[in-house]
Amino acid sequence: MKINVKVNGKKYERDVRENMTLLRFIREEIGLTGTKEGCGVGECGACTVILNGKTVNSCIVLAVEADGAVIETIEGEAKNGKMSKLQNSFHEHHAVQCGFCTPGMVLSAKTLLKENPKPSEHEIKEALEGNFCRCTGYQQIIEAIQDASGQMKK
Amino acid sequence: MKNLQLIKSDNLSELLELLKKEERKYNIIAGGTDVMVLLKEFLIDPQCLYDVSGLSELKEILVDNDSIEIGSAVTMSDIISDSEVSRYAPVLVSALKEVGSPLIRNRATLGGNVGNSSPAGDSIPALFVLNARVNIVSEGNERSVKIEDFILGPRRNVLEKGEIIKSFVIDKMGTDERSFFLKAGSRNALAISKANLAFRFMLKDNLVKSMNLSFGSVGPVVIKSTMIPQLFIGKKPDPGLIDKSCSLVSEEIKPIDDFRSTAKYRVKVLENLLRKCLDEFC
Amino acid sequence: MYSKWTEYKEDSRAENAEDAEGKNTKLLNSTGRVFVEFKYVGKSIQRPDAVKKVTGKAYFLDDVKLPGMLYAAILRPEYAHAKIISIDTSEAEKCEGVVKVVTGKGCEFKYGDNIRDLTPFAVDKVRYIGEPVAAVIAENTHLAREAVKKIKVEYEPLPVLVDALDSLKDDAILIHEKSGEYWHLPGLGPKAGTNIANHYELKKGDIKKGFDDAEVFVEGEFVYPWGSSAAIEPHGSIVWFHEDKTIECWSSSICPFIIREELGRVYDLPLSDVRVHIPELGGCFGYKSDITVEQTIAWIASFVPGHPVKWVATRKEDLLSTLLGHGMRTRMKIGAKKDGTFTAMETTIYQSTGAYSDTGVHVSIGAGHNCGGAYEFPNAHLQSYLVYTNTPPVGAYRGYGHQESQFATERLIDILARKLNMSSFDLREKNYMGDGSVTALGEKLITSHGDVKKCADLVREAIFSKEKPAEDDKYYYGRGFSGVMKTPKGAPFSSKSCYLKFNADGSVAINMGGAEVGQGLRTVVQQVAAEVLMIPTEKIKVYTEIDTQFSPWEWQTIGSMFTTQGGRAVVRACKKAIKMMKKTAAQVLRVNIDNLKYDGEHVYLRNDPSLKLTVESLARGYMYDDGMTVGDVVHTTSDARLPRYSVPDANGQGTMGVSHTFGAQGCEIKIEKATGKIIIDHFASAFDVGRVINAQQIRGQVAGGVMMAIGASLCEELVFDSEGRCHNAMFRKYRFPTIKDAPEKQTIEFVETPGEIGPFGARGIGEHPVIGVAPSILNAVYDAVGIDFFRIPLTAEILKAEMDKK
Repeated sequence: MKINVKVNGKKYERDVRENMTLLRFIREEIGLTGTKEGCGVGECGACTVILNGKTVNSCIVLAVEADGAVIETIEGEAKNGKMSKLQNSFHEHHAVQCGFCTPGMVLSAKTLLKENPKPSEHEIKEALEGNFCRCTGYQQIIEAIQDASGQMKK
Repeated sequence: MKNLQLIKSDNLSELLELLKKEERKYNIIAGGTDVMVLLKEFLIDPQCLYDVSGLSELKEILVDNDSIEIGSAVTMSDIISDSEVSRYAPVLVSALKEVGSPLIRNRATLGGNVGNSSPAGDSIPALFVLNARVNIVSEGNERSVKIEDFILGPRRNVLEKGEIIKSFVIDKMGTDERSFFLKAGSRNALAISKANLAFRFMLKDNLVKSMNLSFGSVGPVVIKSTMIPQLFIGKKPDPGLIDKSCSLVSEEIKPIDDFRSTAKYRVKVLENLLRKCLDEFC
Repeated sequence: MYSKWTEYKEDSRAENAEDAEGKNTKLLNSTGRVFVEFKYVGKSIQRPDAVKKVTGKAYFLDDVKLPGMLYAAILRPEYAHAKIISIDTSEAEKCEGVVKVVTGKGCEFKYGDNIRDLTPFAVDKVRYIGEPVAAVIAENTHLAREAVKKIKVEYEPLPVLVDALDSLKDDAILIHEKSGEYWHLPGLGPKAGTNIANHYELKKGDIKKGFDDAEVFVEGEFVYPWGSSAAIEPHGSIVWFHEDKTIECWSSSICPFIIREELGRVYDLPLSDVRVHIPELGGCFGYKSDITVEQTIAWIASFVPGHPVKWVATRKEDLLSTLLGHGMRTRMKIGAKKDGTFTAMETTIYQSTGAYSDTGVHVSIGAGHNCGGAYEFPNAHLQSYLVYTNTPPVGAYRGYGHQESQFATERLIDILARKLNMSSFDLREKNYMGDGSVTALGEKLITSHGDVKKCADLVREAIFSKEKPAEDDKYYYGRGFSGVMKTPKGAPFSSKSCYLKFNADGSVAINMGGAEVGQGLRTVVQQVAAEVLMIPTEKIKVYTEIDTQFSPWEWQTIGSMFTTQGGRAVVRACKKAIKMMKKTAAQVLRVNIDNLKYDGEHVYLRNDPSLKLTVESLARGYMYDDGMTVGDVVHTTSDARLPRYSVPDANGQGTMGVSHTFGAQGCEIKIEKATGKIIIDHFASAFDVGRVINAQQIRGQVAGGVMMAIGASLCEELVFDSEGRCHNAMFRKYRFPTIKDAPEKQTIEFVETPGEIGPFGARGIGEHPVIGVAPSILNAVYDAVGIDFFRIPLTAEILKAEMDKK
């Protein structure tokens, strides 16, 4: 089935098998491997992408369902070789250890801050509950988001 | 899942026509948060998927004087953020907030949650206390079924071949009504309910005018409580009735033992949830 | 160059004391100690790999693409213990895109580093539910997984043993009938005719006398059940048998050199013909150590030479077909005098180690010899039984046997304190190890091994210094404490190596064999090297991949040993480089080498600093104006072992600890009366790490370890039924902790008693934060509701049921 998608501002037209997930499409057809597979069933959030402005688990979305959609992946976050404020904050606050959950975390945090520029710690936790991390214990991720939203507790 | 075909349309009648003629094994898909998992775990094996997520007829929220109609393909996130639903059916919003994670809620739909008909479906007890009716359509036919009659058992419901859920019609709660949705799960996010309850009541002159209570994840289907509301109707909310109410729980539900939780725990947990709920109420 | 001497850190182990001494003789105080200010060590330098990770550019195993790559899917058995009668692959072979279908037929070798009981595929029988039985090689993973469903296997089921105690019964079926014939390292090995894969026994002092001297006893049985390291990146591997008769492998693993040795041995190739690559790793936490899935993938790939074959685990396979953690039952008895002095400890540990024992044996030994924890027991009899069961194999899991056995120790100490009517702090303080103590292994401790009391005081201050909240309508409140001790469970030959080279502009490149899994060893390498070489961290490039062709040898990156051993190797390599530059400079300046000093930018004459040569001019030897060049190009290699690491003697003792990290942990919890849910309001940890290398990074290590152990304590468990089947091998049912489970507040503090081995006195920390979590939570539960628990996870369901009984 032929689909048309916009990924990080660029248009793509591809013919895909209907059973291909959006995750596989992004990683294999488009070649953007920043989005990861951690569980394959929509639980860990490593596969998070932004689909028409909303974060979704791309491992449980079929590529054909994304026909006509606007998709943002982690590769679209830095512009012209410059990281975004949020990415810089993750970097500075040691919110990144192994890095496998990081793309998903950043996109979920980005969407949170877009809808709620000054989230409370509780709101941060609510927004990121679908993104699992085994390395950081979440502490420094929360701090990175607080700092990026100008709310760093000193 | 190998030669899976996806059939999509942005026109409801066209889709229903195709569906009527469909000979192969099919599943309806909207957000896909249940169907995709079942597919990937090889628990279902349809030859095609009918995608209803593009049907504008299923994506509306309509409010009139005493009811709200929610399209079956509206995402849970959109329902949660709808101001009318938040105002007039807060118990549904509370219930949906317990489903999965924000990533799931951005795709999941009421149609999917009810259509999946899991005893653990969080939206269902809330729909019970809101006296929901399920509007079902097929080519050339429409019918409406009470939510408590829609689900027959775990993963079984009254949908016939060629039928899809079009929308849900729920009560608009009055200004003197209040509600709770409580859930016991062993972890906050992505928890599959161990027991949950939805509670809706109206007080007038400090007397209980109406009370709706439903329990989920404690039996093959969600249960509408009949004995407990009877204790309270027409009376003051009396803390003395709390113990009696809790003791009725094990009579009203027939809990199952499964991997997730034992029957005894479910009764206990439900009693505790009910107690918590009635404590606030009384 | 060191900046102004405004802050001093007493350090008698300054790595460049020679230089510091020379510069600062006027700053020596009356004790004659040297004071050094660190420029890079101790600072929160940002990780060198974070930018690639946060922009999605870091590449992991599943991102590797190779020409002609094929994909494998593996069939697992429906029985946990059964004879394989027949395998019919004919249907599967006809499926779309299938290149080959493979079984274990014809496999005649076994593998394993410690007890060689593993085969890449099940041969005559299956021993656990996740074992590889057959595999499909196809053009893509999807097609491979479809075809796998068409493979038909006939089994003859056998009785299933799920718990060590059942496997030890006289009439229990033998899971490995020929275990007595397996190759094993000396001092280890299965007991033929039983399901015992190994028995470890340690005797210190005289246990009978120890118990005779005791005036009070406590004992109990504690269970730390199976769990999974559950890194977010699942296991995966690619193996390629080349036409030139070499093998190439990529793996999500931390032991490339072990993989190389194993593949070389089994496929009869010189090690130089086996090449292993380790890309970026998405977490390890233990279960990607030792050789795990690689032999299976290699066996599959050997059937399609010329093609690389990739396999990445589904989450279910990652949970059931790699390595589990724990599975330990600890029976412990402690004897003490009425004043609280410990006189004896007797422990028997039963590890349900699964169908294969190779990866679990040292976990059981570590659990055994260190179950005394942070305390001195003059007499001890400690045993571990490594027992075969029909469950997935147990292997390394962060903590490596220490949290499992010290769970018992720390719980029993609280129980003993109650029995003695003594404060549990006073009881612990009476017995903490310190200068002059002798561990169960017989190692003598000195001050520089660390100060557990200081750590305990910090946690006590953080958690216990204020009043406990009174019980209210909704909650019970409690506080709990635990001591912590761990030493690395290594191998005597274990070493970590460093290749260092100076570039022409004075910048440096460093390659090592240490696997970065998120713990931040790359930053540690940068900071240690920067400090010794006295150059900014920005001028030091640390490796991002490991390739056995280019990387220096390292045994494997486990045991929280990298900072200590790897850091020491970095220091040695840096010092060699400085010496090389001085040697060349001595020639050029026509002086003796000991007349020269180095300050990061120049090598210069001590008594006339204006006579100097730049580092850049020395990096490739020194070139005169006429082009003639003298001196060596500055490349150095070095390695470091843990000094005198040994194997157990006849008493099970020996120098098998060497580097001790002590600590303390504690928590404030509340228990929701309505549901039994435990909420951790505040978790505190303090560790004596010798020297903090990177403040923010080490904090992240502790926060992460605490979270992982909170998961084990409150919600994670892989449950197997009596048929050896697991019903919760997926995240939603395994109950992985999310951001909402993080404690409200975490206090993380460090004591710095510099050690004698690591760079600048640093000690390991990676695993230690998991060790004291379960006992401090369960001690807090007792404090809140007066109920003792002996098993985890302590779910709301279990706690509520017990609270209701009371």
